[in-house]
Amino acid sequence: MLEKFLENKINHKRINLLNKSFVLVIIFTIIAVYFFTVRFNFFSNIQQALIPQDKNVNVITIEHAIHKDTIYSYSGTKFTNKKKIHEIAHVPNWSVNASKVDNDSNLIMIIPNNFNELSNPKFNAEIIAYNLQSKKQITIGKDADLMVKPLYDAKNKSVYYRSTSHNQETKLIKYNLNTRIKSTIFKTNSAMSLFPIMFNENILLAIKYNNQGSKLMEISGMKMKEIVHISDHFIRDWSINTEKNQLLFIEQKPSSESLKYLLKILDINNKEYVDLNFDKNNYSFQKEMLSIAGNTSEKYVETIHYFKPTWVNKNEIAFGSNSDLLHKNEPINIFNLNEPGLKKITKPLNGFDTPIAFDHSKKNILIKNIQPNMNYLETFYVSNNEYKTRFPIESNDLIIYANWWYAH
Amino acid sequence: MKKFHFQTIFIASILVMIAIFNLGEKQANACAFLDTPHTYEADKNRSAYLKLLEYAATGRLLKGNNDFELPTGEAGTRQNRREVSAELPQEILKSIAWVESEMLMATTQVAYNSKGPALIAFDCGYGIMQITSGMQKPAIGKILSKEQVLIANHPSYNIAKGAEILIEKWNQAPQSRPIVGTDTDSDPNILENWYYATWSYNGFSGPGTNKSNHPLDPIFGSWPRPIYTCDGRYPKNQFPYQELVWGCLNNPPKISGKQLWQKVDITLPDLSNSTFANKLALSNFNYPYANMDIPTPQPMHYSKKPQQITPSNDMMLGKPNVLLSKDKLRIQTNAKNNLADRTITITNNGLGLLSWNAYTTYPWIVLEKPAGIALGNDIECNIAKCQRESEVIIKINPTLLPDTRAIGKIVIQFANLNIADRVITVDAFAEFNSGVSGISKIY
Repeated sequence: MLEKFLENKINHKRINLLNKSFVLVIIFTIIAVYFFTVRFNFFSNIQQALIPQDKNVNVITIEHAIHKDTIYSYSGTKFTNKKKIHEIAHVPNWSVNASKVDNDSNLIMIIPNNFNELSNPKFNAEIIAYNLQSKKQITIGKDADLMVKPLYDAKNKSVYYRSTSHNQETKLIKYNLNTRIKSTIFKTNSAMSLFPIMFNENILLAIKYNNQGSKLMEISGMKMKEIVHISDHFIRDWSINTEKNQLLFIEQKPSSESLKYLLKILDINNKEYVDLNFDKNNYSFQKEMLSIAGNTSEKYVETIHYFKPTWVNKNEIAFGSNSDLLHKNEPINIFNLNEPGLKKITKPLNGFDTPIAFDHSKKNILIKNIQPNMNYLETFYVSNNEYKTRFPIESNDLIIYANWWYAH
Repeated sequence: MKKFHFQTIFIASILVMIAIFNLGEKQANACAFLDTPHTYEADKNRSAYLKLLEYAATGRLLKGNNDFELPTGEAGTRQNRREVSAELPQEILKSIAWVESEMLMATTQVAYNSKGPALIAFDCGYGIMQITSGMQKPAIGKILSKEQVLIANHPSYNIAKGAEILIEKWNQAPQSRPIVGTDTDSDPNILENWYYATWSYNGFSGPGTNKSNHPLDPIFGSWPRPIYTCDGRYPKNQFPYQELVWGCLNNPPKISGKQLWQKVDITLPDLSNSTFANKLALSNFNYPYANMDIPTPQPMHYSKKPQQITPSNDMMLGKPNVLLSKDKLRIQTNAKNNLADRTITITNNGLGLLSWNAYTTYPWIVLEKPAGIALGNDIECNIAKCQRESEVIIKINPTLLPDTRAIGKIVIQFANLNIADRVITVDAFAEFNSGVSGISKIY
């Protein structure tokens, strides 16, 4: 309509900017554009359409309900195309525990489906490999410990998981998806808090906790030896770099004022630590974070907690942060280890963001947002820092797992 | 002839192996019991159980019964620990009952207000309160104790035992458990002070054990985390046990849209606060946990005493009275005798629930159901499937018979009646068909 009007005016050379109808049309156009922008995220859609998007990229989720968990994929430019992939029945009120999906589309899941009345779903849970592409399933065993995330080594097609029996026996089991051979790689008759974290050159690395602290253990030939005592405290949220020589983790350390969540890197080969949290060391982003927040006094040094660190690439790490004192909506931080400097990803409207994983292009990041004032409500987003977009992964159910999946 | 003997021995061996295999399996499934005992499931709204739980918390349920009476409690810090009355917060007991079993005595297949197999977890947890203590194997050789039978098949006793275990966990402090309430004289009337006792109800387990309930264990989410909502939104495996109990107090479970209890305010220890975090440090998780004493989490809340409860038929205790259909059975092993010939009916012509169990020391007598319950006239049992009487069904294992004819005995006990055990005589007559036409052989 607007085009026709202008065309007529131009063709007839009768444009009169003071013409009443022309002014009305302009006002109408502005209102219409505003309405469409607000209502349908008009420009954002155009912007997102311009982002070179890998058509195979999906966000894969596991969504929880009382009697079953459901795997969904989200695709499309705004990740709004939601498709159900598979349903997993489980003991009421419990949920599956899944590994990271690798390029071969295998999702390893531990399922509390031992339906024997009120049997402890933590033990003797079924462990399966479910291929998101072929939708085929391999049952690995019915002896997994639900509480310990399985480890999948896609290169060797091997699954590593912990098996815990009611009589305190603890085993680490390896299962090869190609050969279907299952073997026990470590066994002890006592209960042990062992968490497999990485497999490399016939050696399995695991974290072990006891009342002396957290240790990094090496398991090979049914024997276990301590590599390094990592901390006197619990450590959590570990992430290994692609070179498999650095362990990024959070140390839960009680301090004089609060329970601190500190960010550290362990150089596995040299057994050296990089403590990223205080301005006295090489990587002084604590100071940077405080200056960004506008509070540089020593009082605030102890107030920032870090969450869910992950490697972006060889030199960069991403992590979430939160502070009760600063009361800021905290975006994800990206820190370059080689050229110390802190970048922030798009700020959330509420709460604080924690990173889950970057996609292959390293431009899209899957985010979990946590809102402390809403009973720690968790919502998931795909954020593109370059185009400043942030698209929600919409679900009415609790998302208990989210990651990237490349369909072929 | 030799071939015949070989065939017979072979078949008999197979039967024996199957019998042994089956017996072993049943033992493993039903823990103290050879097979699953039967019990009574009360109303859907759990109103009978809620009353029982309140009454048990006051210490008056089964008062005077040595095996089930609520012990006296304790109060005070390490320096001034002392005995106090036998009471515990009814709110916490109810929430534990919900978290343990959704307040069910029988399996979910059993209709409300009727009888059926008891709820048994694979860790030998029985019934509403999921009692595991002393329920792993029969108390006396192969024979069950009265206490075991009552825990497995009588809701009132099961709840009383749960209350007893909870107060025992509380009383384990300070000798082998830490204290909550270093600043409030560890007053048992304060709900928050039951944090460690509740944790202990499910096992005071932490890192290094196979089912950690340590709130800072990385198998759970970072602290602070959501409060468990007890409505199915959050999976249980994301929380330590005591947070499930706290969550269900804050967000009461619902049945047909109706809350089981009024919302109860209760505070968890704030682990962001160094006062609590330091005490829960890994190095302190060391028997007898003396370094883990903490002050009362604030704001604190007092337990509300239940309104006056008078013992009534609702407590399901009543005055049961037993009537047996027969005291002698004659059974022929060719399986053509009808079910009535091998069944003893137990009738409760009194009030309340009559708990029974049967055993035999004769290996050739097989009892299909080792224990059950007979309902008195005051017990609700108005659905089609509900049968007030109970049945003891007997089978003969012919492969274990010592001779062609054998006489054995079954003992039936009544755990909540002060009467002598009843002995039933079983007269078994074995006849096998050899499979060769025209020949019937007695072994």
